[in-house]
This record gives sequence, C-alpha cells and structure tokens, in this order.
Amino acid sequence: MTDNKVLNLLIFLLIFHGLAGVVLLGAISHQASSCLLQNANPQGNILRRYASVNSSAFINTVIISYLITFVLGSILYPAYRLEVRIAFEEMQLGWAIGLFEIKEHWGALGLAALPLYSGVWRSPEGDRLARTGITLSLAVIVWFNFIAGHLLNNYRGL
Amino acid sequence: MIMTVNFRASLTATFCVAYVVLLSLDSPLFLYYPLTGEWAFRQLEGNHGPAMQWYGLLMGAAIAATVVSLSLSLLNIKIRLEKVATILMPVAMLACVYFMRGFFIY
Repeated sequence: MTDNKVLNLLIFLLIFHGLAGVVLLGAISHQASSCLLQNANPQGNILRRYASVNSSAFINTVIISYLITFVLGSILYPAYRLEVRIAFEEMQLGWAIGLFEIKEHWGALGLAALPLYSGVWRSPEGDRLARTGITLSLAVIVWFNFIAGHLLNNYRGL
Repeated sequence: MIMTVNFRASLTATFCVAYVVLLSLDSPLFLYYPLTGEWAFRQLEGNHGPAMQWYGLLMGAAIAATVVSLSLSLLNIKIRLEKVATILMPVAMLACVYFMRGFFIY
C-alpha cells in the first residue's frame, strides 16, 4: 500500500475507534448511573430519568463496543508509537506521554474486567456490590480513556 | 460450565495482579518493534527503532490469568473472588498511575 493509502486507512480507523468509544461511553454511563441512583424514575428530574434504564440491556453493547474500541486501539498503537510519541518527546510533553501510558494500561485492565462484568450482570447470583463496583471501575476507565485520547489527539494527531 | 462467575472473577483478579507485577518488573513476555515489524523475546541490539512492551504485558498477564483460573477451576477450589476482583481492579489502576508518576514529575 502507498503511504497515502496507509494514512487514509489510519484516519478511518481512528475515526471508527472514536465512534465506537462514543457508543461505549453512552452505554456504560447509563448503566453506571443506574447502579448509583437506586431510586431512579422516569418521571423524576433529568438525572433520575437518565438513570432509569434497564441496565442489563446494556451488557452486550458495553462488551462489544469495548472489544471493538480496544482492537482498533491496538491496531493504531504502533502508528502512535512512531508518529506521535516521538513528537511528544521532542516537544518535551512528558505529561502527554504519561497520560497515554495510563490510558493503555487502564485499557488493558478494562479488558480484564469484562469477564467479571459479564458474569455478575448475567448471573442471578451475581453480587450486587461487585456488579456496582466493576461497572464503576469500567466507567472510570472508559471516561478517562475517552478524554485522554481526545486531548492527546488535539495536541498531536496521527 | 467452566465460565462460572467465580471463574470469570479469578480471570479478572489474576490478570490485574499479573499485569501490575509484570509492569513493575518491566518484564513483558515479548517486545514489538513497530519500525521494523519485528517481535523479540529480549531487547534487540542495533537500530530497530523504539520497542513496545504493551502487547507483551497483555499476553503475559492473559496467559497467567488463564493458567491460574483454569487450575483453580480444575482443582475445584471454591473461593468467592467477585469482591476481591472488584477491589483489585481500582487498586491495579492506582498502581499503574503510581508506576507512571515519572512522566508527571520533572
């Protein structure tokens, strides 16, 4: 493939990576808020209405969108390492490199959270505290990675 | 049958521990050199460009998690690990931030 085609493919994958991230962010935020706001009701204020969803309906969306986002991120990572990180090093933006490092490690831990997440949500004997805890951890990872990814892409995109 | 909640919890818990241990020891299973497209079990000498540890860390932790979880399952060791795994997740996240502190402290 020519350099131009590779660049176009990378940009396409990056946009798709971001869009999958948006789907993931929406699904996990609904689910996390419904875990936190136990007395959510569709007639209440906007927060309570936002949280009054059938949480188990989001399980597959969260898992599939996480996997898609993760796989696309893994494909794009070598390009970041060569094109972006070196530029960050030259610009002496240590904090930007650090943010991405945390993003990649948290992304891996989020992947590891999926088996437990799936188990506690699907199983009737799934512990409610474990369900809330793992969902909130996943939500923190997704929000952090989404914001860090966008911030870093604004500084120096692919 | 094998994919019980406890098996899944042990996968999550063991992966978190293994990942943090491998990260702290700076010991990925293998390295990837994106400039040349080479994979290596040790640091290559010469000009191969920057090395990436992440794939090696992921694979190392995944193998450890699978082996430990399968062993617990096959040996029929019944330990309730849901809460442990739930607590280990944020602990592992904080540990990663701690190991990356050098990037933020000049």
